[in-house]
Amino acid sequence: MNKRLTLQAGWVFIAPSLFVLMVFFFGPVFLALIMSFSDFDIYSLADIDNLRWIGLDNYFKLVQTPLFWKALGNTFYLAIFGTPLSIAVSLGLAMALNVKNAPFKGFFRIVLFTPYVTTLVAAAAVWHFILDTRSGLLNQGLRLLGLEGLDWLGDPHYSLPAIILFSIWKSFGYNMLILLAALQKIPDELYEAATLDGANAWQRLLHVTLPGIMPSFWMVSLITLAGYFQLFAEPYVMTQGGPAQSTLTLMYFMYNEGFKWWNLGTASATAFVLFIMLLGISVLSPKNEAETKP
Amino acid sequence: MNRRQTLSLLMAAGLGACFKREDGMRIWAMGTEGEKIVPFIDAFNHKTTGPKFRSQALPWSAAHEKLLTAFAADNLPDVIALGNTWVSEFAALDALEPLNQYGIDTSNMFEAAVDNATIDGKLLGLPWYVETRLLFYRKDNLARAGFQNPPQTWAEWEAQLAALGKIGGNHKFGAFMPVNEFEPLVAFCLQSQNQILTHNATKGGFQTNGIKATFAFVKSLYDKGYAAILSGAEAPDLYASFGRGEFTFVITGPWNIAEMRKRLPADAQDKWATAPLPGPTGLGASILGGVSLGINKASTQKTAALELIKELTSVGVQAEFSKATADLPAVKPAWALAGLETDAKAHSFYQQLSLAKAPPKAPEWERIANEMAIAMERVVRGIQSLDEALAGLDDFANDILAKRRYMINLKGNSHE
Repeated sequence: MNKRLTLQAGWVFIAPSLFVLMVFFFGPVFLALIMSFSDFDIYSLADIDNLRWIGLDNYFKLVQTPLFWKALGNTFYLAIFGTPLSIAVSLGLAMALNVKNAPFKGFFRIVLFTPYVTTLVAAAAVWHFILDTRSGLLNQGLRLLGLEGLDWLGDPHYSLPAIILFSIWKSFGYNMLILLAALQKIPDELYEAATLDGANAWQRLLHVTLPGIMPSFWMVSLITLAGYFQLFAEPYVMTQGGPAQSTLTLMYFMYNEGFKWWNLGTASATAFVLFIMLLGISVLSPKNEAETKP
Repeated sequence: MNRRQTLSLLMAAGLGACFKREDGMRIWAMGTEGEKIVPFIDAFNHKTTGPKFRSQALPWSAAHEKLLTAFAADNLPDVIALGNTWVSEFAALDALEPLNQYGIDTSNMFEAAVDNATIDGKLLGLPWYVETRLLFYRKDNLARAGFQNPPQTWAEWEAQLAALGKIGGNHKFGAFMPVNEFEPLVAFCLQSQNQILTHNATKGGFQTNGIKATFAFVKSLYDKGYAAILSGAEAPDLYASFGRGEFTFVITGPWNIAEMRKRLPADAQDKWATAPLPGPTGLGASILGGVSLGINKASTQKTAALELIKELTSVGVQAEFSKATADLPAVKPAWALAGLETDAKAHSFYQQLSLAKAPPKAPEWERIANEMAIAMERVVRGIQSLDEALAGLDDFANDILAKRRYMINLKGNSHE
């Protein structure tokens, strides 16, 4: 009896968020799944009677579309190169901020966190200027160093690296703070003991720091990885997916299918492919997290 | 919940967008025109006894998506400026009011522009401003190669390009034709006696003799080195290199008259001119572009909307608008009023517009046109043979147009 009462109270507490989730998340996701089995297009938009159920055809067509593979390839490129670089930058700066007695720590912490709280679209617009071939800050800096400037956003070879550069700048602040919190929890005694045992800085990083922050490290890595898989606004603002479709991500491909060509069936199918990939990534986490927990 | 409500909910959830209905009449227009239209709307509001209009400018890059989502949300403005390739799409949506019944005189407008806005016999918009693609060329280069006049036929053009290739130096390539632009290719295809899309634009016509010959002709321009194989991103700055005379021909649109005047160095200004496109046997057709003004079928104030689009397409307003924007008027008598008739560079556009043709009228057209450029790029880069590419284009078009065929069959059967 008592147990049933608490259960009911629990339901009452989660009801508001459950309601919101149902209406704005599970409902649309379910509708999108249904839609992915249809050929919803502008003709169906004109009259819903023009909609046809085509089963898995959208998925079969998708794997035969070269542009889908191109977008998938670009997305993997971003994830594979972007994630480790993002984490490395975040970890490096977190460790720098964790140095004992370093001056102006609070100031640097705020400054380094600032990019994360800027509006993405505004920041992307600013980076568009920074990356400009002729008058951009980055190329002028490279020229000062005696290097040839690159056509960052105009050359298919450098456009993805440019997007990664911007993404790292935009997102490292958040990861840095999480990693910093984890670093601060590692007791100093462990470092002292390791030093006494003759461990050098590299060994201390590998055997004390990393195991100490492993749960946070994994979480940050997975979130960053998932973030790269869902990258959209950066290329949308900076390159419109170009040049030569070199910055077309899976999300962007989906957007074009859905809202440019209005093939909502294909777009929904793409969304579910992405969904399954992200589901696969999130399955990675508990297992590894369990392993790393003492 | 009816269809529109369901869709609005989906839109709201999917895009996080929120459309707010406001009172008064609305007109949406794209780009510079969307901004430059403001004083004309003010003047109209001042004059009219009916409801007042408010204009809103949409950026070109987002306009198409915005219009479709607005349709889904049942929130299209009363008057809609539509890029000419979108007309058939909005016809498929049945979003536009047919104007035939209002007895509007379109005889003083460019025929291709009126044709472009006419779908299945229904006039769905009034041409507002027009554009087309033609040759911009360097007179000095051509003279050095021994020619006084721009080409009238493909054969003449090839002869000029061959001669230009022999001058050497900077003039390695006669023509500037980035492979990612579909417009020149489509323009040449429109000169063919065969149609790009056949059977009421429901099937690909890429393997017909005419289209095949056109593709072969454009391919030969790259193969023979008359045009460099460049995509837009790799291409050098058009104005700088045209200003230096590094190439002789470029196929582009009317906005570049103003751009060239602004960006080319002063000493190059008397060295360039414009000319209609050469065709297989004489001056040829080109692709018609531009923007038309349509009336939202769901508008409750169609009389007022009609009054506005009539005003915006009247001779006087067309001329003034052309002066404000440097756009080409869709109404022929406005050309003289805007001072365009005495401008030789603009006059070529008048000639070309009279020869221009509307691109195929299928909602899927833009996608097929994009694919044409991609196929041509594969051919000139040697990834695919011409025959494979054309067969691939037919497959692509037939696949994309499958739903359109189904729809037309459905409509045909219901009429019986």
